[in-house]
Amino acid sequence: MNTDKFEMIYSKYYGMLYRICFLYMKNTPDALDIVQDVFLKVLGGKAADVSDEKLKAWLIVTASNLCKSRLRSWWFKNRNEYDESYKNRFENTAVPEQSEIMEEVLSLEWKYRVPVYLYYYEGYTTSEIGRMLKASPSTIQTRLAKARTLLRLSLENEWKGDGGGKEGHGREKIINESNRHNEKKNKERKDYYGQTTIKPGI
Amino acid sequence: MDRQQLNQAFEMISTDESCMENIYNEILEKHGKRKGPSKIKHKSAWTKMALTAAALLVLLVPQTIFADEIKDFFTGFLSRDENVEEYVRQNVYEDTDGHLRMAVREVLSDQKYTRVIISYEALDDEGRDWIKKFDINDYSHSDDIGVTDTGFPYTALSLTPSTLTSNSRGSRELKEFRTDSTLAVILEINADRVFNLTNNLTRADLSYPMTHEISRITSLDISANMDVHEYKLIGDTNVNKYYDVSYVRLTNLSIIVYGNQKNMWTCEKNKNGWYTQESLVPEEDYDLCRAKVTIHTKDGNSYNCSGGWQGGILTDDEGNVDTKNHRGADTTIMSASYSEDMVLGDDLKTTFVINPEDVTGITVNGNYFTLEELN
Repeated sequence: MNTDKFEMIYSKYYGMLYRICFLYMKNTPDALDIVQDVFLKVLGGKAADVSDEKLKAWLIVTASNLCKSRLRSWWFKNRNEYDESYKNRFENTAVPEQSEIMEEVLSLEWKYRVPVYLYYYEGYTTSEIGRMLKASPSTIQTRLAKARTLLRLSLENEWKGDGGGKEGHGREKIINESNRHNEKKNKERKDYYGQTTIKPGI
Repeated sequence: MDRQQLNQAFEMISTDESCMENIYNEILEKHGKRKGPSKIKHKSAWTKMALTAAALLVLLVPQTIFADEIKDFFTGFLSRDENVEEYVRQNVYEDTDGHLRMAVREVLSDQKYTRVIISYEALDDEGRDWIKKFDINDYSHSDDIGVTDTGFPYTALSLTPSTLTSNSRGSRELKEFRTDSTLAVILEINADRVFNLTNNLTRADLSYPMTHEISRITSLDISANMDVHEYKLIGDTNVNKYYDVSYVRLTNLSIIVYGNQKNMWTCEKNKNGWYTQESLVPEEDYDLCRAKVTIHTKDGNSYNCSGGWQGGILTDDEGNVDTKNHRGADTTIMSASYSEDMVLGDDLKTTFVINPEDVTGITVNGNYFTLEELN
């Protein structure tokens, strides 16, 4: 690929790719690293047979695969230096509400936050997202619905304080359910690592 | 929060222009296509790098070829399925003795069942000879490949503590990866059949042979984060004279049906605090007891799980009957992971993965149940 065409592609898609990679990785160095890898593939001719109309989807799929691969890698799972950094990243923004929204988005699992971005920001349909992320459209729909619920609840709670009245009671109930779910998960985690008992034989 | 606010928040994920430009330059530099005046500046460096690379290439030809083979050899097995792709942990462990390279490529677990994909690659002719002789089903000739029958893959993967738990439930070679210098094996273990899968899987001791060693041992982290779904069974729960069914635990990997026994087992503790469980079922009723379970999915497929295992009374660590941690159930009616070998009927489908969200119901001993998700 010639450099001029590459420059055009780079200018057009850099922002989108960075957002997607950041949504997966939740830290800038890894996100930029993967953005670079994706564009190196483009420059290396990996997307040579991809039509201009499909290039955007190709870039998203390639970035997603690279991010997922890195998230699954042993060394990534065993390092902690970036785990909390994203939480402070948006604190100094001029619009606190946006910062809160972004923190909530980033607190979702990637399987929720990436479809949310592709659906609402990039405007892809659930079946298109499903093809890109290798999931069925119904799975994407379910994830979007759950993400919407999680985002709406937590954000309303933060913006409106304790809420109150009928609406607040409804939120509280669901949040409590969510807390119970988290407690259950935490208990399960504790069970994993607390498993030392050897029972007598039958 | 509306869509506009959400999208404005997404706009915040950005870098400044200088970062964008730096990345662009780095890409071009890495690709060796820097344009403009700086091209001359970097030409010398690139020439030096090219010469160095060429020199290294001469020294590293065998390894480089091998690296290419590795790259092409294993394309993923468990991670091919979209339902579990995100839960598969890759490249967990690797080891070499100079003739072979062994790697734990993929690990997938739902806390009760774990699948592990292990690969071997030859690094030289000795390694190739070892791979050529490898036969996962041929225990009697294990001496030919330099190991005894206690150290080869069928028994190589065991849980901690291995003295009280079951070993690999099943293993088979993935023939699609077999070449003169490569092979891959899938191993499966369960949490512990003997103790009714009470505890969750967290670690497994993997023992594996190399060219001149009966076994090497490593401890693998096999803890899991896969979603677990539990459903109340809606239907006539009186499915057998020895037990009722109450609820089912479903994951992408396995199914466990829980229920309550009716004079099927005794559970007694002796004066030392040890306990024993004994079956009260007469021999002629053994087949009657065995639960016949079929999973039905949205797409109209059915999956026969009747090859699964039946447990005893669910107990706590002290040997007391434990119903409070099992939604009132006191026994495991049937437990199985999805795999080809449990599919018996001609009209039933073969699978390794079933998405719990696609399951519409199950049949136990001919009684059909719809499912109601439990919190």
